[in-house]
Amino acid sequence: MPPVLLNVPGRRRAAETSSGMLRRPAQKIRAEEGKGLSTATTATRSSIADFLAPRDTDSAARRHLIAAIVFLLVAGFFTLLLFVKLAYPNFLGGQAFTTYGRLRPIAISTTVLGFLTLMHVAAIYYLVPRLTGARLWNERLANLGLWLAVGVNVAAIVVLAAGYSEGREWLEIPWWLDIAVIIMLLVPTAVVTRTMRDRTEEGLFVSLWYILAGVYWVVGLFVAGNIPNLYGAASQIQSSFFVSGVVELWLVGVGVGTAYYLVPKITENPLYNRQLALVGFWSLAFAGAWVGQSRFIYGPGPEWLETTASAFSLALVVAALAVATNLVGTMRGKWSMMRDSASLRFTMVGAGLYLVLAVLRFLQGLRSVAAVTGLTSFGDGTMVLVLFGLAGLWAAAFAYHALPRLIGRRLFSDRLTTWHLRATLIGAGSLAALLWLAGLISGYSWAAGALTGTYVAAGEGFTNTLDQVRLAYGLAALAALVLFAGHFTFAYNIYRTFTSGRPAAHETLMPGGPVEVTHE
Amino acid sequence: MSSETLAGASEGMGVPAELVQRSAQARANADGIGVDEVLTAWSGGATITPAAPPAAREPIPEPGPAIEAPPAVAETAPQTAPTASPAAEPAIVIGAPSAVVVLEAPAPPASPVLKGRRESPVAVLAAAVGLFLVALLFAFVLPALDATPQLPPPSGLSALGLQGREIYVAEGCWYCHTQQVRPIVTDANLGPVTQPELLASFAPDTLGIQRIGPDLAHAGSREPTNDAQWLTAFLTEQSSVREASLQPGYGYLSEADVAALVQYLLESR
Repeated sequence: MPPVLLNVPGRRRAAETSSGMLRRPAQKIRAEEGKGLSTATTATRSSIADFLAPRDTDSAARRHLIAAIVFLLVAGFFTLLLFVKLAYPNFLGGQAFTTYGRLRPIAISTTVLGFLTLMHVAAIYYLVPRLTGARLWNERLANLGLWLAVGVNVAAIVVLAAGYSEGREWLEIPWWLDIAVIIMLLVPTAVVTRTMRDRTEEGLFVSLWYILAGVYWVVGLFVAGNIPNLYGAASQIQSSFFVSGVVELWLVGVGVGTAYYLVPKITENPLYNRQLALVGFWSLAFAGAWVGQSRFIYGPGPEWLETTASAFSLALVVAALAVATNLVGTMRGKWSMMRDSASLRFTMVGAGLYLVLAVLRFLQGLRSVAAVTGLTSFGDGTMVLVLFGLAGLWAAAFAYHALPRLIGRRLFSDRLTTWHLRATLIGAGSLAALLWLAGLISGYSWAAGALTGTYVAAGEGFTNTLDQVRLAYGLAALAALVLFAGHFTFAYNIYRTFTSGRPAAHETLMPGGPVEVTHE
Repeated sequence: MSSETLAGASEGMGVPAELVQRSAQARANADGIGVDEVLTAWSGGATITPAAPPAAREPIPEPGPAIEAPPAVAETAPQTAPTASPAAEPAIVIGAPSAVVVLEAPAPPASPVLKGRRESPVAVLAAAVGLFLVALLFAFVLPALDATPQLPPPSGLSALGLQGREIYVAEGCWYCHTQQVRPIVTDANLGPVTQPELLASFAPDTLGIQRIGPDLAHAGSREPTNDAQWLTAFLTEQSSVREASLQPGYGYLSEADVAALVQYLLESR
């Protein structure tokens, strides 16, 4: 009976079990344990290092998850303030940092780089060892990466609030922070790549396709987005390429990877159809970075690019259809589990939204539709639902699944997850619907004004077109409040799980796969 | 396995049926007996006599007081008698169904539902990155070159106007105001259509993303934004010129900055 190491966070110890072959990763743990204990000084130094950047199994996933929740609250707060300021520009007086123009990049960056990216990285650090059968390469580096990410996010808030914006959508932060962001994103890329090399599992599960490609795509996108000195229409093409690429290939892509893990794992049903998974993944890989310019139909960019963008967004409908069908198929015979599993509920609602939003974004790219909705708040409505509905729900699904297993405590309250889901759907859903409505009203009144000459979309005449959407913006602020209540419920549930969740099986990694043990 | 036994065991232990079933399966596998036997025992029936001696268990060091553990009955062979005293035994009794129990140890192989087909990650990655590079080339680099004029036209901005443009960019005016006119009916009254070859060579662009407020591409050539005084008042003391507006106040900008911003708008024709 070969000895195998069982690694419990916080207290590493060896244990003997009767199964599992001794593999390379396990030997590494032991080698590391030998170090740092030779003298008292090194022990003290290493204990500080262990506190800042521990090497325990799953510590990086756990810490990223917690940080993501904190940034969700920050992002939710700024998003709420943003929509209040949209409807009531004088709310909180005229302080510089509370103007819409400064709040908007802060809200976006804390949502995208704070909440969603950190939760995705947590999911990556959680899923990759479980799917490859290897220990995460360099847990310490992964943990150090989190400190960099936290630093980058905090610096971004400060810098943007102070008014140092570069004025490029989603990349408003100054160049030195852009470099820090790229380094921060290179950490998961390196960790995933090296862990893949250590893998003991020969098969490559679907989730790994999305994760493996995603960690490279996102770095490529940030590099491409930061190519300097593009101007005019070229600069617009760069922004639209970057924004849509980050949404499709990173925020949605890794989310799909998580969903593909959660549904089979929880239902214990095998993946419904591998061919569908292939179609879904390669459609996304093929078309994900092409669709940006569909936001700027009739703009100054080349017309052929607008046409290819709308055409390729049809491939994204195919991708969404394949993923949603596959997830629904995987649920077969286990739909009753939706009642007990918050993760399943969030994943499946997210899958439905994925399909709806893909169709909607395809429609937005059609010339006849874009003639009305283009440059209105219609696109923002869709984006809110993509960030907080689709990607946000999948991120929450992961958190609700992984947290109890990471800390060995049962989720504090299942009821609260239902309220979280309701508040998010009602909040983000009505927020999106109101912005869609405002967009349609704007688009049609600009057109009507131009056709009839009664009022125009320029100068004094613009106020006339605004009167009608003001109510929609006011209600959108309320919807944003409901959405924030959902975020708060989520964060509260996670917090209470730490403080008063009942002890439950703790899932840790052993050579050969994850195993559940008690948490003392 | 019978669902009644499962339900019974689940209720007796106060543990969800799902968990009980998996634990029972693990126990059955480890002891080489049927799942039903395990479940019957757990729901208060006959004790188990394993077919083979169970594998050595993981030792639990530092046994603490059992948390939420109901009076546990050890059913590990060869000992079939109830545990004598908690002091003599580890508080967490392996093998007994209770809230605190080592589940599924020894480890089963990785969940079979999460197995993929044997594939080379390098090939998947190469193809995915390759497709990305194709998109990068054809959806970004080539169209960007296509849209960049060989000789960009003079911007027509004065030094003050240029300074104002920087404020326009940094304060995020472009989140709510576009500076692009499209060749469609909604933009019919906004002035000449924006041509890529007529855009001046400043990074970043101020084309904008949406119109919460009006388009400002030709702000300097129409009422009321062709009036410096009106603009200054509108940006700093809005209520003096317009009753209700979604325009935020920029009273916090210095007078020089406001003057520069106004100059930029006047020069946007």
